[in-house]
Amino acid sequence: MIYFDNAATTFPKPSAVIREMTKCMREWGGNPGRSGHPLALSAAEAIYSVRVELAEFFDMEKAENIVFTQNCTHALNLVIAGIARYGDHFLISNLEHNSVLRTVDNLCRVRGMTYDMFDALQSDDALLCEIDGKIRPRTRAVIATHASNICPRRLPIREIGALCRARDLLYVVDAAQSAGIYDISMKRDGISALCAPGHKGLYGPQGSGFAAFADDFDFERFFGSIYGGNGRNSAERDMGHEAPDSFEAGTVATPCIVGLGAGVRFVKSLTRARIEESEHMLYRHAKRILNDIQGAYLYMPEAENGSLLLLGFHDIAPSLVSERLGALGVCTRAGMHCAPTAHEALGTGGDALRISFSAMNTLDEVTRFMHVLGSVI
Amino acid sequence: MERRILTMTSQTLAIKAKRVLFRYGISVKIVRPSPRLTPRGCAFGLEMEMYQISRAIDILEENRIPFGEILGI
Repeated sequence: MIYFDNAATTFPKPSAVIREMTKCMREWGGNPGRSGHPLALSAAEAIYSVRVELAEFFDMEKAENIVFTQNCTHALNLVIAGIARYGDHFLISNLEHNSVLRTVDNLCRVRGMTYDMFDALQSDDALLCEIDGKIRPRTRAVIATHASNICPRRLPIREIGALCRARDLLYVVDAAQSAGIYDISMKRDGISALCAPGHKGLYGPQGSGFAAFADDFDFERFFGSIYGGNGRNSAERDMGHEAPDSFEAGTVATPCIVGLGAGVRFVKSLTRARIEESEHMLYRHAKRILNDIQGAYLYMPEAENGSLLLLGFHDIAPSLVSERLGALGVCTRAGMHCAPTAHEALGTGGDALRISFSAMNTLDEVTRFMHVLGSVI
Repeated sequence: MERRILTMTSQTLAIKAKRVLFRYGISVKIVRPSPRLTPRGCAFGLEMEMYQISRAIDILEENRIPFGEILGI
């Protein structure tokens, strides 16, 4: 088996992740935030420790500003719906996943807001210029991906963050493809809210994700979108505006969260920089070999700003290639990757084959993969 | 020794406060005070020796960790 679908979820997971989750479910996993008995408190302590790990990893002071969610989409919905007000205007990029595109588009229709899109495939300077030019008096936030989920394009988050701070806008970053791989600092990059999955570059289990809010984020103007029990002020109807508890209604996924904590420690032990370097090495190796494969071509062949490969084929549909590869034990992803405007911008016609790496992949796997690819097209 | 409970606005902040206080040499226990004592409903609190309350409050204020009220046991 060769697994090159790590942009969907990293696989396999580190053993420590599985161990922590099993230990939680066997030994101490009570319901945190509810009871005062030892198992409930152990779970709460463990969850708080993961908040601390994440806050440290993303350069934040307040661990309580990490709000756990089921996944990145959930985090983006929580953040976008939480900041959106009637009449607001948003700016998003044309590389957005549907987790941003659909969320913003639907909220705009329901809540009477508007949005514009900027071209994220142009140069960084041109992109910043376009964002600046599209800011209106009612613009509330720039909501954009950090790294595309289909092509090697990373947005200049530090510069966008600086622009947002200068123009008094919120900056929401979708870090679905970058958390754990690329350098992110909430403080330095001026990020208001960072949304990330636990199960991709942070090597946690599916079912884990979070929204990280800046240390100075104003929660008084933020509204949660899921209501219910959170173990505090139960006699009141209002859940309050205090992170994280006001925004984590219902039982949180304790085993998944502690698994995420183990994943973050795995990344820290390898170091994020080495993972980035390793994935890029695989990317460059794959690009070199691809040149020799007849019938296949690469989108953005010159790009060096990411490590995802997006392939098209002259005589066969990418979806069919992916299916054939799957039958031979090679896992890739074809189709539209839930990013319709990104596919449109790249001119794929809505179908392309994505290859994505993780720290678990090797150069030998890339070489073997290219041989198999050559045999199915 | 008489003990007191300092109520906290959430379990997360109770844990944060417990860890901060521990660094200053104050050992506390996280408890669930009776809802009869906390009119807003379920809450969390830090149980500690009565003589430590004043210093604990100073430390929490210094670290900008919000807290509620002092309850007797």
